[in-house]
Amino acid sequence: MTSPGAVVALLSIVLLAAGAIPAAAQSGLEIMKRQRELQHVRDEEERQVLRLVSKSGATKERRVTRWVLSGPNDLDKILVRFQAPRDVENTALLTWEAADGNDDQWLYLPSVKKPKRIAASSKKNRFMGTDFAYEDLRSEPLAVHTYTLLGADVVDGADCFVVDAKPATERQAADSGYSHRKIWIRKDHYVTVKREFYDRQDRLEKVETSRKLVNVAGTIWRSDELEMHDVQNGTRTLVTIESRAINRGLRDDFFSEAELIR
Amino acid sequence: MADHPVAAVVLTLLLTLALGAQLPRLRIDESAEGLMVERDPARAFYEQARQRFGSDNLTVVLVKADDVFTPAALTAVRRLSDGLERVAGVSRVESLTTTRNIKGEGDALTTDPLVGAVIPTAPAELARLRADALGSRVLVGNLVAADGRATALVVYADARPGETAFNRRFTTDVDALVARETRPGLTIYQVGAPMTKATYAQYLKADQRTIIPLSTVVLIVTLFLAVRTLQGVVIPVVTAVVSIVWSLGLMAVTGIPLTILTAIIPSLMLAIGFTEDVHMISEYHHRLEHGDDKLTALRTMLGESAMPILVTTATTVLGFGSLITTDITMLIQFGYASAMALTANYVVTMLLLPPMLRWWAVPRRLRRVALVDESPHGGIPRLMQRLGEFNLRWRVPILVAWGALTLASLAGWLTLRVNTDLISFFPERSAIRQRVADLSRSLAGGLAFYVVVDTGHDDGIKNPAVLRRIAGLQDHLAATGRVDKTVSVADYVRKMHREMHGGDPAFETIPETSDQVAQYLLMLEGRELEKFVDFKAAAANIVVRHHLTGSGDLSALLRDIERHVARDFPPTVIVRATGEEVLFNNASDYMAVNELTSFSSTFVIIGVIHALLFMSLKAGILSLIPNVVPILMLYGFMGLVGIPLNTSTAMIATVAIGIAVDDTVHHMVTYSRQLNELHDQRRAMFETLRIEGRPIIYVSIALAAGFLTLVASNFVATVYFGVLAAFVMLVAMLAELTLTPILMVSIPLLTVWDMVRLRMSGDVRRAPLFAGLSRWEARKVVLLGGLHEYEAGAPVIVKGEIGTEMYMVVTGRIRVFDPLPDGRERTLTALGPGGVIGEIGVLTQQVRSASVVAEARSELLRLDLAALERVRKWSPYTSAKLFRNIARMLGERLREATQPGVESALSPRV
Repeated sequence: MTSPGAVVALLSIVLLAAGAIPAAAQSGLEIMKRQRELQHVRDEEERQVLRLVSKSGATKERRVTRWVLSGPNDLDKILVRFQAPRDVENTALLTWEAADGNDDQWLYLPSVKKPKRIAASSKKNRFMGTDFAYEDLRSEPLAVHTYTLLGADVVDGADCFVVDAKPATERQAADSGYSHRKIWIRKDHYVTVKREFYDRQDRLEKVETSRKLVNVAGTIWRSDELEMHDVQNGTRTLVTIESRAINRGLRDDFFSEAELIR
Repeated sequence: MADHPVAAVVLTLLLTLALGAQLPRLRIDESAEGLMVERDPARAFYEQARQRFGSDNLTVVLVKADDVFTPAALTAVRRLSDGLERVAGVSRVESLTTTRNIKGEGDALTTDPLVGAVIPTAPAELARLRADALGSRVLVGNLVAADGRATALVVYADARPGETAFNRRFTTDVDALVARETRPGLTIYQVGAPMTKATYAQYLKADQRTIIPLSTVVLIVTLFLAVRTLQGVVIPVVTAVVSIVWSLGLMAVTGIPLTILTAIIPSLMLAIGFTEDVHMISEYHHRLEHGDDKLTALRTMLGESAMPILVTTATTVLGFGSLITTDITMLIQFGYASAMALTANYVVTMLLLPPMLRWWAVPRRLRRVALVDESPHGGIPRLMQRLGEFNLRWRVPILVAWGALTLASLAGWLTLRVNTDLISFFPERSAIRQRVADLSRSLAGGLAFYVVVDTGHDDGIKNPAVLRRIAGLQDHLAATGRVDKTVSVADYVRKMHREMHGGDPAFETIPETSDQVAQYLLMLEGRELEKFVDFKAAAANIVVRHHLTGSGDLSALLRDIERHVARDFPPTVIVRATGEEVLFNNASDYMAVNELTSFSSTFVIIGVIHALLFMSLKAGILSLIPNVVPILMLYGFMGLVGIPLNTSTAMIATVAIGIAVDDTVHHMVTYSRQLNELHDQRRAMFETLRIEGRPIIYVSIALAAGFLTLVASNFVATVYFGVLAAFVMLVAMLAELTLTPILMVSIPLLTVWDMVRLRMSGDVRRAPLFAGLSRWEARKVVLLGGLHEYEAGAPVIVKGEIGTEMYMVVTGRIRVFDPLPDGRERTLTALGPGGVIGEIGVLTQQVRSASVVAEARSELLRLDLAALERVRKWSPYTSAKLFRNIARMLGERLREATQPGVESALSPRV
């Protein structure tokens, strides 16, 4: 079996043996922790254009604003609200990540008026017709994965670490739709530029690529363009960030059921 | 070929080796795509539907248990789902473990998978699972039976690009997974299009293995009975086997695959390819019996049979070849393949038969010079003699009986149904038939088609009015009782509406506003809904599951859908049923009708060929009667008994006409030759029956026996085909023996062949008797009257005898003389070509007043009243001119008589 991953791994072992990479070997987890350290923000707001591309190349567009408030232990609160198309305007989804994995979610449909609490939502579900699963959109939960450094690779001319992430707990293994993921992290800014998602049968399911890296502040880098390609289904979701703001001091009660109905 | 035997055999050998080398390239087409109509606009619509909503190539894996909501059953479903998703080519698996459970309770909503990552074991949890599943309109009757005793995994799978043996590979893969999960208390099996097609291919191969040897044995036995010599058995078998190699090789070269139709070509070759051999070998033996030496017998036989065999081959090729004018790929392929095979058979026979006969010592039985058949002795000749008498005696009753039978069979036509049921092609004992029946009893049928609702604009489906109509169509379909289950986006929206209102059943309706629909769809969007709404929400898809295997039932349902749509949907919304099954269905009914129409055109063309062959429209039409009658009776019989017209039974007409007409051609050609020789229609009929009776009976019985070997087929349709074709062969034989002779007696027959061979000098054409007649008319008169040969010195007319004929010299010379009492002869005149004598005798019996003798070897046209009557029947127009000429000549005589002394310009009175 020669998957590209295996080739990369093999190549990097050869390169390492040749001493081509002088840096002292960092472990996978250390790289992930370093990334967290450098890229962490307290809160974040993004206006996104989601372009859904079908198998045959047809597209449809949605606009959302996404707010994230970081909490302790990697547990975030996330609010996503639709701006367009008009018939779903103001539809919103609020997520409170929970330590036990049973996140709290509330869904607000303007036409139904009353928000619905979504019980024990599966993170494997795709988000609103996009190629992103809920678990793809949350911050990397370091505690429930084991990270292995597979080696190095070059993406768009930039040197990257290639880290393999595998569910470490039984619960995570059951909750996740993936057997493992490969994550490409740039060695210079510690920002993720590519991810490969392998399904439970260990077949490549999706590839996410990040482009147009921008330095938002200090060590904080973000990409302004993201593409998620479902290689099994042939569909794509393109995300373009129209504007972004970080650390504006969003209050906790902004991420509440009451705010959802607004 | 008789003169260059080595060259012919070497050529055949080389061609056989070259074509035989192609055999490994012959492919088996197990897809049923060939059953579709080519260039069918419905096919483009279908392709578009597949693009939008994915494959409709569905396999159901049914899991049966006393209760499927048990850890054991659910584990099996989970493991099967995971396993099936891994099978190459699978695009989608729907099962209890892949479906989401959308459920609202109070202010809470669940959108999780119905069965979580861990299969529940607690009774309470299992009970909740059961309640949720059985409470879902999307799941009940689709993935789970209402009684909870069966659950289905619906798998959509297609061949990967370039994959040829998909159906077999996929079916085997699924069976392996099923075998792994089957255990006591769990019955698991698959049903679906791939398995059906794989079984079909498997049966097809099995058929080839049993039927071909069987047909060979039948062929050998019937040949032995018919010809009773070793060469009479070996030669046809050799030519048949070589022809089969050629046919299959040609199919491989031209890329025509083996299908349910083309697969019968080898047995067809065995069944009909030998007929020419039998006619030729019979004729050869006939010549030998008449005392010809081997080479003369062979040459005469080839000369005599070249024309009829060319004509019969041409009409048979035409009969089968007419199928290429249809629009069904599989029929077109069969048309080409069978036309090639029959042509190959002709060429092989012509190449191989003469050398083999030449090299083969004359069979001992035929070595003595036998004049045996001068007297009607032995079984068949005596039978034929009696038959001839019977025919003449009961002429009118026989005609009336055939007419009455034909009319009675027309009543059957009124009840003839068109119904192709591919599943019923399989025998009842087959796993497929049993599973299909069991599946539709346990859950929903294993068959499915799509009803596509296209609004023509983005988001059109979000319009509540459209959704309500979709729901209305589904309710209508459920009310017909002909459909097992339908699933559409309307079901999902209704379900969502209810669950967003705390699971209140009062809300299981289509919401009021399109915004609300849009918001629900946003929630539902994803792979599960992909099958039911297209990407831009312009079109929706209703998946209709059913178990209607017959095209008649399915067509009725499709028409019912059309009517409902016309009534209920605005014209701007296009609603159409589509799917592989719908296309097959349209094609199969179309095909059956198509085959019949192509058959009628073949029939017309054969009639035209015969009319040309016998230069008479009447003869052309009469030649068709004994062949159309059996076919009218066949379909009448089918209508009365309730056997439907389908792709298979419709083909019998084409096949049968192509074969049965051959007998008629041989019959008519022989009759015309006998008539030329005997100049007596009744005697010619007896003689024809005596000569052709045996080959007609043996060939027909051999053909019927050959077709009956198809009874050993695994396909019910093929069995029917065999039995019914045998029936037609036997009825055609009876018609050939009773109807053809009666019809023939009423008309004189000439073949174009004889006309062309006849040599007439300019003197004859310009003779007073032929004044105003075209060259063809003159030839007709000569042939109908009958040419008689006289050696030099042979007497033609003897003075004092009573004569009823007139003569015209065609070749040679005659002398008219008055025999004097003293033995001397007073020569009155001598006549060359064109000269006429004895014309008075034709009209009034006359004592001959002079004698006539042939001076040199001469050919004389002899006309009597019967011959003139034949001319009149043939062409009253020609007859009128001929009578005018005779009248003119008689007038001349009258003038001579009244004005003695005037020398006759014509000839002396005889």
